[in-house]
Amino acid sequence: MTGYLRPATLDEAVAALAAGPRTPIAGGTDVYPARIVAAPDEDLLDLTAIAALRGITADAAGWRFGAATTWTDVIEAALPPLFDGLKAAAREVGGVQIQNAGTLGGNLCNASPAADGAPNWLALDAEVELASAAGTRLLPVCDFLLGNRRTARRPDEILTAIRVPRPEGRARGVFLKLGARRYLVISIVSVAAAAQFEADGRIASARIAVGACSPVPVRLPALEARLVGRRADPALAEPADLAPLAPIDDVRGTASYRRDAALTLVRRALAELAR
Amino acid sequence: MRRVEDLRLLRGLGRYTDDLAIPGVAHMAIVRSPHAHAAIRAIDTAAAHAAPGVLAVLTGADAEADGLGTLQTIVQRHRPDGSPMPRPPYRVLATGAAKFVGDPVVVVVAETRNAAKDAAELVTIDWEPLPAVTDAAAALAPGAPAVWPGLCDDNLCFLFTLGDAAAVEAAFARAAHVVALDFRISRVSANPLEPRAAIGVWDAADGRYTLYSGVQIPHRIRQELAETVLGVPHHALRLVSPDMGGAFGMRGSPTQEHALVLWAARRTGRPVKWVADRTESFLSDFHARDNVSTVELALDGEGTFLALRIRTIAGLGAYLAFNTPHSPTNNLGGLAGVYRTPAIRAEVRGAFTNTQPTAPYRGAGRPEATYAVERVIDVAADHLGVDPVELRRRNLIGPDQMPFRTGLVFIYDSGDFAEGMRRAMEAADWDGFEARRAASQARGMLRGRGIANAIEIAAGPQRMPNEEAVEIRFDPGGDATLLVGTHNHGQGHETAFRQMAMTMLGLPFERVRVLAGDTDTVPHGRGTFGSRSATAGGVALRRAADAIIARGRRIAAHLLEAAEGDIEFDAGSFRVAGTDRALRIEEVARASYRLGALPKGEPMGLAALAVTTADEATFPNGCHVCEVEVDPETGAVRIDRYTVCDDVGAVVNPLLLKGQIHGGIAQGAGQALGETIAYDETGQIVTASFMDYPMPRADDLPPFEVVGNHVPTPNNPFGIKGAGEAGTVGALPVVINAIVDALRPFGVTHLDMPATPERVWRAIRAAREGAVR
Repeated sequence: MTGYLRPATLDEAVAALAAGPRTPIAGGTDVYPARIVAAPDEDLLDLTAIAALRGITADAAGWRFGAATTWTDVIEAALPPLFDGLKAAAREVGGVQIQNAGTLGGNLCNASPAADGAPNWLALDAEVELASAAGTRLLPVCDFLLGNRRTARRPDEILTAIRVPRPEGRARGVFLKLGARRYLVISIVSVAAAAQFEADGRIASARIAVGACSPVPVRLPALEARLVGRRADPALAEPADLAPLAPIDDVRGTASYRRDAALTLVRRALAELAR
Repeated sequence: MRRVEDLRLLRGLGRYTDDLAIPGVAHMAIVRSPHAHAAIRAIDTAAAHAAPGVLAVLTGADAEADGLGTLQTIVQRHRPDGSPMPRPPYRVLATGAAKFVGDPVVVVVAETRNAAKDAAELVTIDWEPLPAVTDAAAALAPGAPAVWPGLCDDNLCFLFTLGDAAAVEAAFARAAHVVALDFRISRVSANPLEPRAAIGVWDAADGRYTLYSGVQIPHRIRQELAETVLGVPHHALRLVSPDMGGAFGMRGSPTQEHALVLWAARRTGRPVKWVADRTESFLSDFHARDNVSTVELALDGEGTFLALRIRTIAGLGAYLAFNTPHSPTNNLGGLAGVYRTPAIRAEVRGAFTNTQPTAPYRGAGRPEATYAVERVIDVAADHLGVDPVELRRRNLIGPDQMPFRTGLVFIYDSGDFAEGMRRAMEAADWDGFEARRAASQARGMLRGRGIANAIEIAAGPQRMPNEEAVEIRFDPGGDATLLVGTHNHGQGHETAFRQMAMTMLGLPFERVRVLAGDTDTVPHGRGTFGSRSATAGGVALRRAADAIIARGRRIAAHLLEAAEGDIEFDAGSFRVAGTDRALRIEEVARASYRLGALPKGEPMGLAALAVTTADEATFPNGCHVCEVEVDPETGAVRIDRYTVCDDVGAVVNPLLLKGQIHGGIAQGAGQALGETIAYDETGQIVTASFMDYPMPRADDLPPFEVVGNHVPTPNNPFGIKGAGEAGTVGALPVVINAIVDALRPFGVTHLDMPATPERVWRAIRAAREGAVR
């Protein structure tokens, strides 16, 4: 490491990035383990002193999650059932120490295919807020995540917040994951689902996203379309709905197992939404 | 009584090797082979030498030039033609070729740990990759790459057979039923919480080495390092083994790193320290188990076991470490289980593979043997359509048959196995299973249950148990220090030995101190392994205490002006029989150091050393019952209930005993459910981190129900049988038995460990597809 900066304001942070390349770091729970073998040779920009980056706020349009909000903050926040899935993911991200240090923004910027946050943001139809010296832009999460460890963040940009629009009427979120054991494990498959319901209980709109089965978590548009106007029912999910997935074989699981387990978890997520 | 050591250990006051502050210490990093098998064409250390803070860069050629010896195994086995097994050179650093990923090749010693690691990266090795084989069965297949070309072209290190082949053949020939099971016992790594560490010190003034490193058998490792590697008298090497965060058999051998820090210390004139990180531990710690087996059971028409035979290929690794052939060959007696099976035959082929050497690991062959017999019984029960409990009962050895000579090697002294089963099943609410199964089914889950009877040899070997040493030293203040040759690595020895001394000598707990692990102060020791410490250490303590009491009686008789024969010892007091005239043992100890207090010619002081063996090994046993819930769609397994009824003979401390049983079960269940060392086709370990090597966690396990059926053994004065490995021995088979039972509706009859979600899912799918076909 040749330089370490920990500014107190976003303006300073943005200016620092405009001056030259730096790796933004918040909780450090992904940055640190990736650099344990050799001392880092890049400059770091620690964002944790910027108070404005942390915390959850809500208005008529929706919710704004500061990028430096920790998983523990999410667990402890009073949030509507729409965020039940996000909360479930927060409880299963690492151990308590990781939940205390790891941040929502860092998890998204790290862009691991198995990240537990990402499928939830897709299901929540979230947008990221990116700030640079040139101004602030908004980008849907599905456009932000480009591939394994790749995002649309420019080197001069800081991810400042994740925004979730407020749905009409009753809404619920669900998150399910499968690993080699219950906690502290890389997901073999994860599924996030969120739905808005009509007054009579039929689905007005739904978004289903699957993690760890493709370079970036993906949504299942065919299934989402089929759910509209119906009641949530596991039987509505079909194997063909998983066409967008591209699972790989590795030591954690084979592609065929991942695909089958994904369908199981999608069906269970629908069963959960039906409750 | 609670564990006294926890006050220290849980508050961060434990002293582990890495905690020891040695003035002037330098740090060692090790360059390890990135290839499973590769010739070393050239090593360029110039850049590393020139790096900042570097004190020395050493290679295998330097070690050879300095006359360093090689490590060796103490277990001799033979090739099929009767010739001695090949013994590949187990150098402290590889020369010529590296034989597994992690094989040490160069060491760098520098002022700081990071300087050493940075410089290690500057070492350039010109590798010529060679074909490699990591799977034990594949290694013995024709045409497999030779791990040691020229020395052992077929990779067959040894063939070991045991048991009456003719009797077994005859029994199989007349059997009404024969069932067979192919299975694998996965390769695992012990993964103690504290990684391995060593500090070597060379004292030029005394011409003497000191090694600080957590090991289970300090004196024995000192002997090996002194005699075979350093070539110095034992007393020229002091080994200090401080606190250890787990060992499990993995710390029971001399290692290359032990030799390297000592050698590097002498070369550099500086104390040299090495501490493994977790990845280096996965790549360099001894692994364990790794068996490919076929077991067969012959039964008559009534379901009586006639004979059992097993053929095993054991993966040994690339080198023969201190005890490598031990686990697959020395605990085969466990194949008899708790059953009357009259004829048993075992054939074990030891295979060289391009992997870490294997070493004993909690059970060291015992869980493997019990797994074979307890799994094949379930297969037989399934085949015959008999209740597995009933089939076991029909073949149990009865308490009235003790001592019982089994069909293979062992003579059991005691035990009431039917009663153990009854108590375990009662505590497990065996009869309530169907209701629980229905409840699981209503939730779409499969419930299965397993039962397994475990028995293992402890404090052996049979007929000639290893010795142990204890010295009791009273100081002139009247307090006692126990110098014990066993070594605690978490079990609670300090608590147990102080309790035993309290009982034997009537001393208050706080007046007894336990000292272990330093070869300069502890006179002798065999060490801690094989569930032996309470028994072997206890017997030595008893003998030493007897000598103390005999001496104390003589001194007390003099002080009390009575005849020696009239002195009774009870609860810490020497009393003139039938009177109230008495002296406490502490007073006698103090008097023993007082000038003029003893008769002329009587030696002063009060101390006694016993180096002694128990009369015979013991056979702890128990019945394990496990219930699992399996998610048929994802294959995820959850252990829902676990009950064990144990017979460990007499119990010193119920809390410590439960700790041993709980830990043992967790260790066995961990292997059954998830742990495995897996290699890819190039010989790289693909599970070399806790991301992909799932150690069991508290939330993976239910509360354990531990009940007792303790039948004291006549084989030692206390009736203790040992408890260190019992939990693991039973857990391995019972968890798999329960999972297979849950999958029975699909027609699944076996599933190899680890029962990962995917493997269970595959078993279900294969069975379903088979049913369709």
